Amino acid sequence: MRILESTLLTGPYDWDERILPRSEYEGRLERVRAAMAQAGTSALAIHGHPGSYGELAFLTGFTPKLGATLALVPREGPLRILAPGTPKMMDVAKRLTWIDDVRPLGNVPKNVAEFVGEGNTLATWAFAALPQGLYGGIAGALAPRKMLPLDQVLDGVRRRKSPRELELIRGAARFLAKATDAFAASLRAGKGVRSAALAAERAAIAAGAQDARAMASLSPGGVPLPLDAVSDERLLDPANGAIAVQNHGYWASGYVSVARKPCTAEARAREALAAALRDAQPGGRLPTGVAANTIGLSLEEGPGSPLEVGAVYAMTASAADGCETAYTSALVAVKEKGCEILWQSGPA
Amino acid sequence: MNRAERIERVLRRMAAERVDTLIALSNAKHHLARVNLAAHLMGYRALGESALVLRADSSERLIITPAYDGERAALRRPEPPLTASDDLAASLAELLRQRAHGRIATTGLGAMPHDLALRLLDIVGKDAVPFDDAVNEVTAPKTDEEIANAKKAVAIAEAAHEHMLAIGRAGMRECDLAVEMNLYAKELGANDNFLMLSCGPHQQGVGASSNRPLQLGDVIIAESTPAYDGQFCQICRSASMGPPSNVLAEKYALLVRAMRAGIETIRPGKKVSDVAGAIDAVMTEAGYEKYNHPPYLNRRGHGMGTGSMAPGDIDVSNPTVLEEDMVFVVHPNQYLPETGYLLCGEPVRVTATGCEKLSKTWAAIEALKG
Repeated sequence: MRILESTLLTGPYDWDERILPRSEYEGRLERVRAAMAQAGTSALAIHGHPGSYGELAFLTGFTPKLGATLALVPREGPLRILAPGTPKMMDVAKRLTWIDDVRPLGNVPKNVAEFVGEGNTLATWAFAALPQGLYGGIAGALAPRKMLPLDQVLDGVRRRKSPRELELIRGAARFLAKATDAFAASLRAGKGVRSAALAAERAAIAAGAQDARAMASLSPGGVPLPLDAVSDERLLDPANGAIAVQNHGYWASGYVSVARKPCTAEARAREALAAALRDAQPGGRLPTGVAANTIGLSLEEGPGSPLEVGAVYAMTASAADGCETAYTSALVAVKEKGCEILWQSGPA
Repeated sequence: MNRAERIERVLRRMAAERVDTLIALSNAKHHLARVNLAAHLMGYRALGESALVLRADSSERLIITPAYDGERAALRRPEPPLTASDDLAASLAELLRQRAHGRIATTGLGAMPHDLALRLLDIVGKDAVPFDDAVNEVTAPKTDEEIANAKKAVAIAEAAHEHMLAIGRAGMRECDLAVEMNLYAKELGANDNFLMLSCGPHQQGVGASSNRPLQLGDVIIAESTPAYDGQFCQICRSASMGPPSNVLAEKYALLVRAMRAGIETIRPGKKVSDVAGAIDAVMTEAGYEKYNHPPYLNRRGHGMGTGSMAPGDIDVSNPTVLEEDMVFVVHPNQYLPETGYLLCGEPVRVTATGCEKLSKTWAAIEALKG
């Protein structure tokens, strides 16, 4: 699910050791450093920005509320975060992470080159989304050495969820249920889609979500889209919603269709999802008509197929009837023996 | 000015620089304080990376991603022909293949995500002219639509501030107060909000909201910047948890006086540095010359995205000449040793003869009941 990026994140993002203790991050760091050793690199830089920061948060807990942020990870010794903002803003930034060394971005290419040191190779994670100007500056400072993307291996490390992570996604799923219920209830009460989306966001926040984003269709049975104009308020039947909610960094997302009378598209979408859930197993693939992606600290952490043990999937089935489409979704944790459904959109 | 006239200004500049095709690229980040000239020219906040392709013959085409966002793009901007695609680079390459493109200029390439930027560079070629400064220079004034939206954004900001005064209480986390203000602003029609809100008895600066609970004796400082249909506009306010002390009231009144002095200088032909200089002069006269510089302040105001940040930072080093219909905030926000960091700021539009203040109220130190 892709959401319109906010200019500034405002929710409760300070690191809470009771929720994700230092030992959780130390375990992750150990696995990341093992991957660095295997790749023969002694330095890793991780990029995150307000629209996508799952990789950065995985290792540091840091949510980049204001803009592009880098974490610098040596093979040994303390980590460092280069964060946007003035030196006086760093005390507030330090509250976001278990890392002690948080500094302003400053001259990023120079700071990164000094961190890497002479003769060493810089491994990178999530640099594909780094702004080209900044990427070029870092590449220039390290030249002629090339950077080594470690995305593939580190994405794999991140996809496998710990028991604590799974519990946080369960929490997000509970907020998602509140939000989808509020969305449907608002529409059934005769409200327009913008009001329904706002009601969904309010319900999730009231339940304790860190962030909530709701989109809705702009035409009957249309694809859910960002509602960023007052004129988006319209009465639709059927109406589709796409909702994402966050709990201590972890996302849950799903689609819901709301129709006043039964429609064949919705029934077919439900059948397709039910079949996919029935057959879901580690290593399995999803049938046509069911889309999925892994979910966690990012709304989309990786591909939806084949299903990997330890990963959590946001699955959505859709079916069309003329120009109207219906959606139904589920959140599924894949385990050694079968799958656990964390949430499923109910009849609306 | 309307969008067509803005495009006309760009076309004239393209002609002057012998540019045949302008490719304005958007990274889909729609930020108060970052330039996104593609969004500025489109008047549209795309969900994914996008481009506006403008030819010297004034024909234009919008390429947006992902393809499913096409319905929204067509609703928002029905005028330009639209390509809704899942692959911006491939669609751009196809478009350029269809017709001779001549000399190409680009904006926004440096802000595009690295992987996509590499593909785009291959398509536009190494000889493509960076055109960011040129477009920024000729499109500084806001359109009538943007000015109307800025006024709506300010009205929402003022209402959200009143809401904050009504609901803020000791024990509430500052982030929860910020989230509630955002939800309230959305309900009033805002599509986004750059809201920096922090609290403390003696702050060094304003920051993004943390989990710190509000306490009696705190000063809450907030830059509230809702966007209405993509146009941000800002007010800056300070409030105390409980009755303000005499010294807080006195120093805040000084900042407001400095702000008024800055606003009174605004008219077409004046430089941005004159505005900042007028603010500094009041503070200097009051004995705070040392505090007219970083690290005690960041800037005395700034332009308003999304799109263009013209006229830039309100700073004594900014020589930009003010033009009619520029919109910016004047905020003397700074640290004072007696009170800590304080915020006060009002948004303005440059008129033919002076300036129009876009907010209905003037900043004043206010009190939450706590």
